[in-house]
Amino acid sequence: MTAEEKQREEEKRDRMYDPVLRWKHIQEAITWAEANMPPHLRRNRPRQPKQLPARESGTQREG
Amino acid sequence: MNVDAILRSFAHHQVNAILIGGMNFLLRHQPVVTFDVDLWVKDTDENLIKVSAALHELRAEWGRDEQSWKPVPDGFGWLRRQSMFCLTSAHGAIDIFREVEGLRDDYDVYRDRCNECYTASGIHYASLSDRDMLACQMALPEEGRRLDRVVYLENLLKRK
Repeated sequence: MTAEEKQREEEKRDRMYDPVLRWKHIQEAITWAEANMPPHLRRNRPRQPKQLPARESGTQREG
Repeated sequence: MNVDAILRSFAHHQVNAILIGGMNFLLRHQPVVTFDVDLWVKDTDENLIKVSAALHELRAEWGRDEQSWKPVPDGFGWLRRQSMFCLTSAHGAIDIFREVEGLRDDYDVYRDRCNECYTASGIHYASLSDRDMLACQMALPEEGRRLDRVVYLENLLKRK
């Protein structure tokens, strides 16, 4: 299998992929990936501001 | 894309398969943009029968061209027609590889080096080793390599 053959297969699938279904699959993939990433890489991980210096956590204002 | 459903079906049919590509890198290391599941399957008749059964269950579709695009046929003869397939399915895009560029030894050599892993919901999958993931990248033409993955894997393997 060459890189060109693989590209041709991908392009053929892209043309045959129902756009609505594809968009649904993309959204689901993002949600699934989020749940399956190591905790320290998750975007929506619980915040722990007490473990951070006040200046870094944005809880202290100047002035 | 319901990755769990795809992996569950392959596990249910006892397909001898290794998760490769972006999804494998994402699960093991870092978030990368990937919207298909790449599976390298052992290239034997017995295993291809199971691959075909799993793809049927997932309502996969494929064709040699746009005109012949349809649900995958019964049997496994069609899987002998070429060495890789890009399919759609009810649960997401699936790439099936009977051979993988850069991995020239017997399939079982790489299968033995795999990490046995589980998704967050407990679905088992065999994960291609870091060393072999890097070999796959290096086998690609330079312009096709994912530089971020290459650098990450090289640094990781240096530390080991």
